[in-house]
Amino acid sequence: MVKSSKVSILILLLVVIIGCFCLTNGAPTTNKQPTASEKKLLNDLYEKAKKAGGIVEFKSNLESKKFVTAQNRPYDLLALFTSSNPKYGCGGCVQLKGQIESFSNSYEPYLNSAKFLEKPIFIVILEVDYNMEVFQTVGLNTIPHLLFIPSGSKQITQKGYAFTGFEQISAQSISDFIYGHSKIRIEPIKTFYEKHSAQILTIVVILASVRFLLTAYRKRKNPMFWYFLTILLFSCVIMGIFYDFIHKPNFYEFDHRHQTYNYFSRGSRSQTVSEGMIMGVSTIAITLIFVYISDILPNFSTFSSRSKGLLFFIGMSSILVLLFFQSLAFQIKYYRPLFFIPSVTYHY
Amino acid sequence: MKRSEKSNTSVVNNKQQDVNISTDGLTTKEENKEHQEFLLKVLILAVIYVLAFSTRLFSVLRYESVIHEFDPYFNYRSTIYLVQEGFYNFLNWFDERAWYPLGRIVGGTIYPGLMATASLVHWALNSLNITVNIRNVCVLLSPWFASNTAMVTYKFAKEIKDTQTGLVAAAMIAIVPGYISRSVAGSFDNEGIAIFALIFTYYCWIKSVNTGSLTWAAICSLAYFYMASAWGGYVFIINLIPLHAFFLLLTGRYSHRLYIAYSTMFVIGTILSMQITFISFQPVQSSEHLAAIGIFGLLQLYAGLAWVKSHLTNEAFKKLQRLTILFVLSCAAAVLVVGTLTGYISPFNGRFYSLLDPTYARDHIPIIASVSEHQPTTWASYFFDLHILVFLFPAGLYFCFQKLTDANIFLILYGVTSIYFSGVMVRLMLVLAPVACILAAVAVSATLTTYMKKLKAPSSDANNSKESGGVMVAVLTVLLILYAFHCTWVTSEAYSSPSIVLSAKQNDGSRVIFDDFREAYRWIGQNTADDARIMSWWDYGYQLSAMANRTVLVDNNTWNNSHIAQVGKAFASTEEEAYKQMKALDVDYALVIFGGLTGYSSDDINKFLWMVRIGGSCDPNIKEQDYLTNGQYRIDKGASPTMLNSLMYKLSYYRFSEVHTDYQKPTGFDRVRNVEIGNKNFDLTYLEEAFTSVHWLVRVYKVKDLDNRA
Repeated sequence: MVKSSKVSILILLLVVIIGCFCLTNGAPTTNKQPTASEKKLLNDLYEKAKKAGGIVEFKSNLESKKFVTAQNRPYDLLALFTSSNPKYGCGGCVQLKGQIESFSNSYEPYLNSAKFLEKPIFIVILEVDYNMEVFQTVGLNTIPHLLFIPSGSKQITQKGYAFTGFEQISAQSISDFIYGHSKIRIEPIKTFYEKHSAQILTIVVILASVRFLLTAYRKRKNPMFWYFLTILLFSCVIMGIFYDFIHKPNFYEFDHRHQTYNYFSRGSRSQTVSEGMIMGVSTIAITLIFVYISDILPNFSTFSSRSKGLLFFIGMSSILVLLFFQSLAFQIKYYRPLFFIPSVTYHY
Repeated sequence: MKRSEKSNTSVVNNKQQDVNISTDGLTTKEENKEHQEFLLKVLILAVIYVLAFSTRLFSVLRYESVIHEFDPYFNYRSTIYLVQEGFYNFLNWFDERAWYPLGRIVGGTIYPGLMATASLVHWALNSLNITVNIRNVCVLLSPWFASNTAMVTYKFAKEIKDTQTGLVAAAMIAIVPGYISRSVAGSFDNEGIAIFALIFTYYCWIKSVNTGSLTWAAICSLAYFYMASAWGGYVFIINLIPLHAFFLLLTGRYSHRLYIAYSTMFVIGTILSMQITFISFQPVQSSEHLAAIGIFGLLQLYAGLAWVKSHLTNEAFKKLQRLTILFVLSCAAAVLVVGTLTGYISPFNGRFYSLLDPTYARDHIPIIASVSEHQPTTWASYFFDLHILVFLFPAGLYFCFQKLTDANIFLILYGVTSIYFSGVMVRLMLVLAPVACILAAVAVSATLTTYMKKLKAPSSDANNSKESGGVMVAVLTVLLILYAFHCTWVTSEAYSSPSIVLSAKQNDGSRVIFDDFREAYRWIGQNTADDARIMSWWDYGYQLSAMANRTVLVDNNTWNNSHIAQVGKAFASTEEEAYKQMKALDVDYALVIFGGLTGYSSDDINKFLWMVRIGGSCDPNIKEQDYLTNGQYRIDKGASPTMLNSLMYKLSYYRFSEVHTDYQKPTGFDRVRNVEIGNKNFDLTYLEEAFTSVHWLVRVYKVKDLDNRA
């Protein structure tokens, strides 16, 4: 008795679970029948997208209101709110628009596939100059914004639906963003290099490390080989490689307001990858030149005394130039050069 | 400026060495020279001794003789206890005034070396009838130890290379910012004496390896014991010395000197370090000490085999060798597996992992990653803390590699490991600074020796360019002078603020002093009941218990995360909720630090998100999202209602709307966040304001009693 009741409970559970699955999977398709107006909206935009070759750019308030802020939208939207009008001086916006437009290569196959009408998503671009009303409805005061707008008639909002990290935008990240919100996977089309760079890199690394181990074994008796290894480690540390590894800073910074590239970041506790490399390499250069003129040149080289003197002065002056450069770089961080002479009057 | 004279004198010293070599005159003349040199050496060392001490006194001159920051207050309080109650009572000390209601066993959870040293100095001075306050001993202990470190560094560098190198190294370490950061007057912390112990241990080690003397090995283990009693960084020593021994074995430099030095040092040092209660059985159980044990075994094996070899034929020996290696390896593996499975050998702890793999901490242990001292280092920190040593350090390595000796190999290993570790964590710059000084000194003195020879040589020599000598010496001298300027500037500007007394510069260059912390702690000490319990964020726990002498709920020894979470939760809840919690925790007073009036930016409102996060780690009802608006942390009108009604907000901004902070700004304008506060003119129901300091930096509230039940 007990056994059979247990079995029946199990079966019941199974049925319930299967039922739940069916409900969750089947419910939206069976319950929701798109109305004629919704169908028309979808078809209109579909035609437009096909004609435009993938990405639609709205040219009037009327158009954008019709498609973007419509009730019961039967499609998802990825909308870029931007402006390429030089009046606003937004260089980042122009770059971003270019990125989105180049994404159409990856998007077009999906647009033309049969799957599209089951799960439609459109990529649209809204320029401030033509679509002011939508900007106001959504409540955007700044450009650029890349928003995901889900289907239905939910209020369009930035919260949770905005794309962040414009600095590192790529076809992959756009695709991931779309997948994250709609479960639609648009495979970004990659060039040969992009596709296989990881494998190529792995092979190169393996070859290089084998080569390195061989060299290390052959040169194991030579102290100077080990010296160069330590120098390598040293330069990596001075470059702040651990900082780069953990905090993943930008390679350089782009100042949107002044339209300039900054290789050095402000603030003493942060750094960009490029500034670390500049300082690390210049330090190693100083060290090696210093070692050369302090020991190798006077004690081991067989040049004539005249060329020795010449080499010495070339080396010394390049050390001084590099030190001067480092001194200025330090000033960006601490508002004072590395080498300085304090003023005599000082308030305690 | 004194420094420049000194670098010149060391140059002079070099000159005299050269003169010494070139002239083989009468013995009396040579003796005279030797005397002169000795005098000069003593003079230079004396100047360095005084300089190392006096350059660390900026904060005492500017403010007064006070203990700095947070942890030193705990050390100070423990020292007073030690002096008053004696050593054995100190070891058994259960502190019921911290971590209420849990308490803390202080004696078993600290490294007692610092307190013992301070109280010993205090006792010695007093028994000589020099009456000194304990506080002054504590304030000036680190600078004094810095002077001693400079002397030990001189001996260490001299043992590795020569006298000149020693003098340059001592002068450099006396003022290197990376070390000054932890040893200014008032920073009464473990690191202050630990660097002395570290260099002293290394000096003794090199001495014992060079001489093979039992005495030096024994002294080395005593120095190691002192280090182990003072700082957790002793693990660095017990891994570096085996590494050195291992590399000596590997490069075929095994000698009986090494065998004697290592075996003695390891056995005596380990037994001694186990006498520290906090360390107890770790040296034989934890994996951090495994390398030392392994190398000890390896050395015995190596020595044993070398002895057997002298008695056997070659073939038999080879067979024996193979068998022994197999046997030993399988034994070691078995012990390791069984030990780990039974839990007898503890695995590596988190901090150790985060040293070897920098990403480990970020992914697994947020409490380590959140501390700013544990962040990886940027290039700017290296230039700030080491100045010219940054490029002299690898140059010094070159000279070590060029002429490999046992001591040089040690220096290389020390340099490489410490540069790696300093890259992983900013605070380990402290370990790098001494070796950077020594290596830079090696480079400087080697270069000067070469070029001074050029400068001194007769100009008739065709293969010699006198100018290059002059230029090199001049450039190095100028660089050393600039190094001294930089170090002084860094010490004065960056490392000499006590953070218990704040100061701001006015437009005319004069200083304003904010002494609110001490004012408030004193008020608490004078005006509250002796057993009053004060709730504050953990940063202020040590200061409260040391200066106000009251019971605190949490302090800087962050051993109990859930207890801290309770306090964080109370501050993050509404007043009503918080009242229940505070009553459950028996809180009498709540203390908050508020910088909105003065513009002091590290106040509790800026730390508030950490309270929310830590509070939320134990109670999922507290969510960081509720305190933010659109992912932004705001306190103005746009702030979220949860934020505006939290206890921390109310305690910080109570009555703040009555104050004008800036001209042309509305009332209640916060000068740190630069906004007008969002919630004005509110009243407190369950707490009442007890005390607010002059500049509103510290605000103390009394928790009201429960209503009488009808």
